Amino acid sequence: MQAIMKRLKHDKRAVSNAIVVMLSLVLVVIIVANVVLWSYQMNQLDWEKMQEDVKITDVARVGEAWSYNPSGYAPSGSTSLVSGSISNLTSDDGVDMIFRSYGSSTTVTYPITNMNFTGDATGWTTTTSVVSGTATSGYDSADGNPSPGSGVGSYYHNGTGTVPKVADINFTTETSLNYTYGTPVSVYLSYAYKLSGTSIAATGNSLIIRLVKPDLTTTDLDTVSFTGAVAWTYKTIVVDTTHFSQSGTYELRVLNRILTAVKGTANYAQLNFDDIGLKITYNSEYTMEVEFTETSNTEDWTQLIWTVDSAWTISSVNVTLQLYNYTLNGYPTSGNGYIAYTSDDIPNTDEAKNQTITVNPTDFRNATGYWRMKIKGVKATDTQFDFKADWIEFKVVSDGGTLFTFENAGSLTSHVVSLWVINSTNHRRYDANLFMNAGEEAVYIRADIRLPSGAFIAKVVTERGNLAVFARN
Amino acid sequence: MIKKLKRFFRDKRGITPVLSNLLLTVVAVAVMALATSATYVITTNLRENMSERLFVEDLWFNNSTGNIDVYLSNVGKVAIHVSAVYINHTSQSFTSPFNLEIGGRGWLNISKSWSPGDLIYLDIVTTRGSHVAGYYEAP
Repeated sequence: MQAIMKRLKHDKRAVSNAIVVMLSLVLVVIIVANVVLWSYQMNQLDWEKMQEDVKITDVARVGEAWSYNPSGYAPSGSTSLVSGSISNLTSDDGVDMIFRSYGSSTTVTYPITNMNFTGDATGWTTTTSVVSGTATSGYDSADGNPSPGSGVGSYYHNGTGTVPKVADINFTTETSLNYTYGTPVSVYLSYAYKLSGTSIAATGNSLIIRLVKPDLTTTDLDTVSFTGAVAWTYKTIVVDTTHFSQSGTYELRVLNRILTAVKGTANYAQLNFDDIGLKITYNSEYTMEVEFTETSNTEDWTQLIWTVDSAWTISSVNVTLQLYNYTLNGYPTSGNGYIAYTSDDIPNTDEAKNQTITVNPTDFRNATGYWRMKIKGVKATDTQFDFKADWIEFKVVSDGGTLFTFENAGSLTSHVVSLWVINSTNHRRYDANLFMNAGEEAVYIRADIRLPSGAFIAKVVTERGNLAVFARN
Repeated sequence: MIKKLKRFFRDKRGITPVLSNLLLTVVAVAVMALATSATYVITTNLRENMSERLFVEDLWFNNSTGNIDVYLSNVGKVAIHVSAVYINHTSQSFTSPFNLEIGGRGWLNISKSWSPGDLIYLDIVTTRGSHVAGYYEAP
């Protein structure tokens, strides 16, 4: 041993070599250790990333909702309440509040086609009941209601005596007309007549204008008794509109008794009538309009959903539903606060219409939370219809943020560092800091995240670089 | 004392071994320093190459700008410098320089027009040569 140590002490080169080898080994070990260490670390990082499995199971708005139903109503125009009360509007239960429409536009019709006898007597027929004398009747092209009447051209009844007797004849001249527009707004009967002749009895000559209804009941619209000759006389008579409440074929009859005073074939009496017409004004458009009101709250709304569930007793009514916009100081005619549609082809079909307003929903209330909703239905029809309101709701939502539900299905603790909310117009990133243990389901509420209306995608990113996606249409 | 100094300066035989030892020490230290530096550089480059991890958090076909925006996240252990962006294997201009520190995130704006329904192959390359790539379809 002493010999070895002695030789080593004398051999300086051996020590130097050993030191060099040792230092080289140290360097090699450092290099290899670093490579192995970093390789291990990054492999561990990648392995952990592969093991991570974070899922988004739900994304939902957090907020409070308030629902209001109308407490007041105000019909507009001549809209009238038929039945029900405002309390019927609180639920979609088929129990309705019913309003009746009113005529909002009229049309005038003259249903007698040949009323002026300008060329012939088409459409008019005469029957006679002759007691004595000779009866003639028909179109008179030589005489008629003078200006401002229609001029020559009229219908005549002529009774001429015979040698043994005076003329005593009952004429019935009639024409038919169709009327199917319901009880009219107004009806006027106008006609002109003239009684002339060589022998007119002082009493007994008469003229009756009679209406025969579709159900064959009759009513006399006007009666004239003659005491002698009468020049052309024009009359206008107001007719009770209820006489035209039926739909169908009416008949207008001119009943006339001709009675001469003296016997003989040269003695006659003649009635001419002209410009005999009915002017009927009926409703050709009906409108129902009502405004509902209620007071809500003055919270910071983020969403307003208003719903009207109703039906109409007639098909295809043009309906507008409007919410009063207090910023515009009026009812909107498009966009938010405005719904327009044509009601169902089948009458009495319940239809629910709603609109969700997410842009400035507070425009639709005043400073005290009061809101107004107008419902209007218009149809060009001669039939009056009803509006049946079943359910009206004014629902507001105050947004308290967004609730995310995550699930860590992996075997490692995960650290969520980013949240994304993406829609068609914006990609918005939020910082996050949430740790989830393996197998844990975590609920994460963010008051600062407001979900967009409509479709969106939510993404969550972990610190290790994994991604989970949640899509809602 | 004076005698000792005189003897030291007269003894010429002692200087050569000292100088040679000194020189040998300097050379050895220099070689070792060189070797250590080389080791450090080699291991550092190796470590950095191994430690790069780039992650695409989001890709936005931006309607308002008409360009493509990519949100990148550095989830590795080393800072990242994006050196090139390729779309369908063609180099694109982007907001340069684009650097991400460890744990850093940010939008990389790529000046590339697109049309709805376009399918692109995006490849983002770092200065160290690692890359992140994928197919994306414009909405």
